[in-house]
Amino acid sequence: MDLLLSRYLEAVAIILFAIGFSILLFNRNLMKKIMGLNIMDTGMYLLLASIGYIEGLDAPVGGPNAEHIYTDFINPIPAGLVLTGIVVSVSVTAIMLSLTIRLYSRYHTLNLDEIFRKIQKDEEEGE
Amino acid sequence: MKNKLFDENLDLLEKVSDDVEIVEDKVDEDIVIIPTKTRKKVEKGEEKIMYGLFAGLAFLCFLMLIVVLLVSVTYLPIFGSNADNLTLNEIVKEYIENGIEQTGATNFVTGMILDYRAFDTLGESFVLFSSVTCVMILLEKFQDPDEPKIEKIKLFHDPILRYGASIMVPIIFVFGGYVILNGSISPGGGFSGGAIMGAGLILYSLAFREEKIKKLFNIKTFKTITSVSLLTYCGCKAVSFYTSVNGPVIHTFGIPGAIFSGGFIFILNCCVGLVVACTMFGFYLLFKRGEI
Amino acid sequence: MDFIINLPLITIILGFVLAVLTSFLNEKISRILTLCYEVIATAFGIILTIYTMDKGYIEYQLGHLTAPFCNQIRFGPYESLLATLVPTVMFLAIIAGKLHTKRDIVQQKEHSFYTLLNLILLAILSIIYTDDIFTGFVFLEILTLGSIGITMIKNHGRQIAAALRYMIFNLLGSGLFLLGCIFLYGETGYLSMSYIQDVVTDLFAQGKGDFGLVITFTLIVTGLGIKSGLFPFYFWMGDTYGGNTTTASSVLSGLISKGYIILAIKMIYRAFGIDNVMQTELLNVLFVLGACGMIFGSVTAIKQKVLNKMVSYSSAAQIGYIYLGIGLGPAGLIAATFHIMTHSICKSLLFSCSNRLIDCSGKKRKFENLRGAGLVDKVAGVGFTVGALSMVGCPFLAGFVSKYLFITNSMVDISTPWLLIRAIITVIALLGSTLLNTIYYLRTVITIYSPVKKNEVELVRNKYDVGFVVSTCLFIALIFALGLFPSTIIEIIGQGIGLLG
Repeated sequence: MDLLLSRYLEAVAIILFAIGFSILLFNRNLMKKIMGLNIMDTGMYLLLASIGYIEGLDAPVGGPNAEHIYTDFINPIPAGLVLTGIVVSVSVTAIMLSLTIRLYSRYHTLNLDEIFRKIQKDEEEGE
Repeated sequence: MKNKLFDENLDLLEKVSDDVEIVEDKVDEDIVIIPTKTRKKVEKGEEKIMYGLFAGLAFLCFLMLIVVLLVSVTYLPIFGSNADNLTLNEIVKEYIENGIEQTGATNFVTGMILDYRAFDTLGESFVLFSSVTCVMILLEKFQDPDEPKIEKIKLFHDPILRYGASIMVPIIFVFGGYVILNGSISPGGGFSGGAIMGAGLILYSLAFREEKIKKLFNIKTFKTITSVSLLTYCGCKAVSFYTSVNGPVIHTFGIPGAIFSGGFIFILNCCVGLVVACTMFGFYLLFKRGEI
Repeated sequence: MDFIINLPLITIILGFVLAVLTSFLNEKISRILTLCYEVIATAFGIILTIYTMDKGYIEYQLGHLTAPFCNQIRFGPYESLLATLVPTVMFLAIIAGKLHTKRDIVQQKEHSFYTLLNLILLAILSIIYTDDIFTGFVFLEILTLGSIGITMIKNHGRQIAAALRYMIFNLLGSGLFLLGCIFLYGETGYLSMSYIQDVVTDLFAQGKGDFGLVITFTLIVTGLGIKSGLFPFYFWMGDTYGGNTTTASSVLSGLISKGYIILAIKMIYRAFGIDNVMQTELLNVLFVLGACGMIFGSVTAIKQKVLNKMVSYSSAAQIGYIYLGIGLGPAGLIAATFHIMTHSICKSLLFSCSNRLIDCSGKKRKFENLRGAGLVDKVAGVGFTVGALSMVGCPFLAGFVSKYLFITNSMVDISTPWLLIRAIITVIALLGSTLLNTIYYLRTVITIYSPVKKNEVELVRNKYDVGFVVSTCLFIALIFALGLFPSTIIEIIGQGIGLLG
């Protein structure tokens, strides 16, 4: 337990990830799946950001003089990885939302099971 | 109500011809309203049992996932300390101590993503590009050649938004430009600056008439800006990767801390900023009315 | 330093440039540019394979410092061979499906299709060459978005719903993969695969932190398994692959799932180290899931009433074969890689021929409407027969060689009881799966060749398409080449695997 408490930020990030993952997988409503996707991604950014942090040190932006000691700054690598992750998350959310709009205007329901039931009914009538 | 707003719209009314229809902008008719609650009441007994079973199983899986991941978290380094932390190794030392000489950027994160790990950022810009392609495939509506083209011009009765936006939008653009140009010196960079400028464009398009935006930003401008920016990015990085293995390496740095320091980083920041701004605004227009 | 080592970089940059160009040019020029790009990529792949068989593996830095400070790509015979296969299959898939592409896609959106195909090829090539886990993640996302794009290119309600379900599974997989990469970075401190392997070996030797590393390995391989259709995550395959246009189905089932599997192979062999992974039970779990996938995929395929869906679910069985091969260790990886090559070629052939046969019967896809279609469209009938026989494992065809390799390589080492049981399970699963494959493939071949009765559906003669005939002939030639002269390929794969770790 003490192990987890000293890493409380990572633990919270993991719980957010698990909540988002379960919503994306199990919930039947499309809008809530998209919200779950965003919660899952948020958990991952929190996890990445907390890996790089060291207490008491500066943000990784140096002054104009060229002498810097690496023990003065926090780790800049996770910050760059978070940037990439955010861009990927935005792109994926945009596509999911446009798919939802098209499906709603065609089938008038947001329930994924209902949509597949209607598709099967259309297929059986068509063949 | 006689005021400047009404006069402006009056000279619009005088230019009316057959293929123009004036629409009162009370409710925006292009917005698709999607409800977020769809739970059906489960009536029959058997379905209720299956639903309960499914919910129970789902909750068990969720708990198992949390337990497994929490066990794995205990193997990560302690939050905030540098004892026993394997992530603080010679890579961090190299980036911080020799970062300014090698890349010319005083912001170490920008130096890392646009110089040391530039291939990842190149791929990431193309992630944005591919998502715009997919959204255009889904949402772009084409004009049916049989239907007559009717242009809808909307009258605005919202002075608060207009006056507020006319103060805020220039500030937002200037701030966005500042963040992009200063990407290598202070926190910021192409992605955040581009997002700010995209937000400014969306605010402008919400507050003022759509024709003004259409003159400045239509499908041609969008494609030109994205293509030129992405091709410039590819070209710069191709030259950079090729010469670092094969040929003479050119360093074009200025004084660290000045705006034009950092060699290629300045150009790359501008390209990325433009692409992100156009993409954000393009998404807004595609969702709102189905065409850019 | 020869110029040849720059070829992978040139291929990747050319892919980026063409993806941007095809987004605003019209569809005819886009198609020609895409086809030229694939020919160039195949030629470069062959040159690189010959060069690396001679010189061993080559590490090429992308940035002014080497790994671990900058990105790096690494290629040996194994990567170059796969980088030759992928553009070839895509080239043949595009020319086979040209008529259907024109018919199924709205004309103004057709150039976007070629943009997405270029992005997919570029992403798979980058995944094959990469030596860095985060670069692997970024190009994995490009591959995901590209595959969603070509799934919904047909723009009907059914395709969009299939694309949504496929996307949800893909996102679950990507999330798990990224979480695994973050844990790997937090526990080792490196993003470059060779350096990660060194730290992991150290940690295993000290006995410290190996449970955490086992969970990390599991997360990464599970994420990639969900995306590629490992048992039990294969239910989306029927809607996604069936019902799509020819080129899209061939590329999705033949190439994209292989891209994910290749990344999983690279993670196991380069980032974790095969010796470390063999100390855990990960490979045995993959073996069991692969065997289950072989049986259950075939059972699902038998139950289908529609030709396209049957061919799609048989993909699930074949992916099970590949995971079974990976689970057998380095000896089984030779068989798995050979099966990757066989399956890409055969599955693309099967999809293009079955779509032509369905055209014959006036777009009705159920089996009873396809009687006698093979007699009307002879090329499609012959192509489907050769592809089906290869999947079943007929001698002189490529499928026979891969099944033979599976059986012999599983018996290489049977010293302990568990290894003996593993060899027996492999043989039983292979025989069972072959029997099931025979049931549904030969049933279809008999249906398409049985003569039409008087009062049944009228069959329509298809339009003659040069591209389809050329691509079917080339596919059949490749299947026979792999079946009759496999020794060169096996030698290249064996040497490549030795240089992989």
